[in-house]
Amino acid sequence: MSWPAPPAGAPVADVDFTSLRMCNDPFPVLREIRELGPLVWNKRGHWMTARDKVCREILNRPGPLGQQGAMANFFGAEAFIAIDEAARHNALRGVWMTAFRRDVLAALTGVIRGYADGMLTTVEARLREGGSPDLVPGFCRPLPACVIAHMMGIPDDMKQTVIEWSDLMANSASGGFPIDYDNDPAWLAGERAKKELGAYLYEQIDHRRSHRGEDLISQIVHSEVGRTLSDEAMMVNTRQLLFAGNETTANWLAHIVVTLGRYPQVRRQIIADPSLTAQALDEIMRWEPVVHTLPRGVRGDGVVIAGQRLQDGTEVILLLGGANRDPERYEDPERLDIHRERKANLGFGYGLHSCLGVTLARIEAVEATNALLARFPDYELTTPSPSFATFTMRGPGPIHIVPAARGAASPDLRPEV
Amino acid sequence: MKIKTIPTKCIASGNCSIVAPALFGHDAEGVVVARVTRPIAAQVDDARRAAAACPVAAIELEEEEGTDE
Repeated sequence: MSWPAPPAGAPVADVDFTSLRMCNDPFPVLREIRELGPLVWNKRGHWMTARDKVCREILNRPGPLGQQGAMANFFGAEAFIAIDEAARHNALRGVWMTAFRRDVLAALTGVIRGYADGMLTTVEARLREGGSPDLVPGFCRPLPACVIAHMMGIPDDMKQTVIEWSDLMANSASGGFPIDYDNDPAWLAGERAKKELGAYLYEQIDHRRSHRGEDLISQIVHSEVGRTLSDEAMMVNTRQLLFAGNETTANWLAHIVVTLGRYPQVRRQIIADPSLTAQALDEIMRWEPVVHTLPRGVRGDGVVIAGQRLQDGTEVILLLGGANRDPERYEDPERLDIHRERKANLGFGYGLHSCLGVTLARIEAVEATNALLARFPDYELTTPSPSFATFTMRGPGPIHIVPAARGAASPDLRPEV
Repeated sequence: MKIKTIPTKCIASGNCSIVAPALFGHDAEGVVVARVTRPIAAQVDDARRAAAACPVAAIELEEEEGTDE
C-alpha cells in the first residue's frame, strides 16, 4: 500500500499503532512525536499530535474538527458520541445528564461496594486455596459491567453475555490498520457482537415501554427527546452508553491494580490516608490513560492548527498518553506523583465529547480501590510487566496476584516515586 | 452566594452553560468562566443546578448569609 505524500514543511514520522512496541510501552515514541512538533504527519496518511495544548485546541472545535466520521461507523450515526452539532448532541446526552450527576450517583455507592465485595470474596477464596487469581476477569472487567448493567436494568443472568459482546466490540480494531472490513476476523466478530447486543437492546427498549422503571433505558424511552426517536436511534444511544461504561473503566481499574502493585509505597500512603485515593487514581489516569487515540476529522478548507493548514477530509489523531506527559503542562511529567498539583488531564477527554460517565468511573475506581486494599493491603503481582493487547484502548492483562507472604517476584521499581 | 470556578479542573463538558447560560460561559480554550460571581436570588437555583451538573466539580458555591439580593 502506498501512502499519500507528506504536506510540505511538516515534521514526519512513521508510527504503527498496532505494533507490539506501541502496545507495551508507547511512551518513548509518544515523547518523540511530541518533541518533533505540535503537529506531526504520520507517513501512514494522517496527522498526529502528542501536545496537551494542541489536543485541547482541537477538542474545543468540534465543528471543523469533529469525531463524527470516526465514531459513526462504529457506534451508529445517531449515537450522540458521533454527533458534533452541539444542540443535537446536547439534547440526546441531556437525557442522561441527571443520572450521571454526582449527587444522584452517590446513591449507587452501596451497590458498587456490594459488587466489589462479592467479587473479592471469590478472589480471596482462590488465594486461600493457594491460587494466583487473575483480577481482570475476576474483578476489573465484571465490576463496571455489573454496575452499568444494573443502571440499565439488565437482569443478572444476562450480565456475562453483555460483557462478552462488549469485549468483542472493543477488540474489533485489533487486527491491524487499515481494517479489512470484509475479511478481518476481529472486525467481523465485533460486528456480529454489535448486532446481537443491538437485538437484545431492542427487546429491552420494547419491554420498558410497558414496564417503566428508574433505569437508564426507561429514561430514554420515556424522555421527551426519546419519544421523537426511532427505535434504532434509541438502541444506538443505549449501546454506546453500555459500551463506554464497560471498556474504559475496566481498563482503568486494571491500570490501578497494576500500578498500586508495582508501587507499594503509593499503596501504603493511600491506606494510611484514604483521602488521597481520588487524587492518586487521577494521577494514574494521567500517567497511564486508557483511551490513547482520539481521531478527529477535518471539515472544510479553512482549518489551521498550530500554523499548519489542514486539508479538508484529513484525519488528526490526538495522542492522549503523550499529551498527559507534556512538560508544558506537568512538571516532571514522566514521574508518577500522587501529590502533584491537581489539574484535569485528558484521560476523560475534553470539550463537547468529554466523558459523560467520568463521575461514575471515579466513584467505581475509588470504591474498587478501597475494597481491594482493605482485603489485600500487601498483594503482589506475579509478573512486574503485564502485557497489553492494544494501544488505542490500552489496559494491562492478565493480572495475577498473590499475597506478599508467598514471596512473589518483587519488582525493583521503587526509586521512581 | 458566591460562585467560584476552578479552571484547572475544567474539562469543558459545557454542562454548566447548558444548565445556566446566564451564569456560565467559556474562554477561548473552552474553560469555564463565571459571568456572575454573586448571583441574585432568582439565579441561585440555576447556580446550584450548574454546580451539580459539572462532572468534575469545577464549580464551587459559597453560601453567604444575607448577601443575596
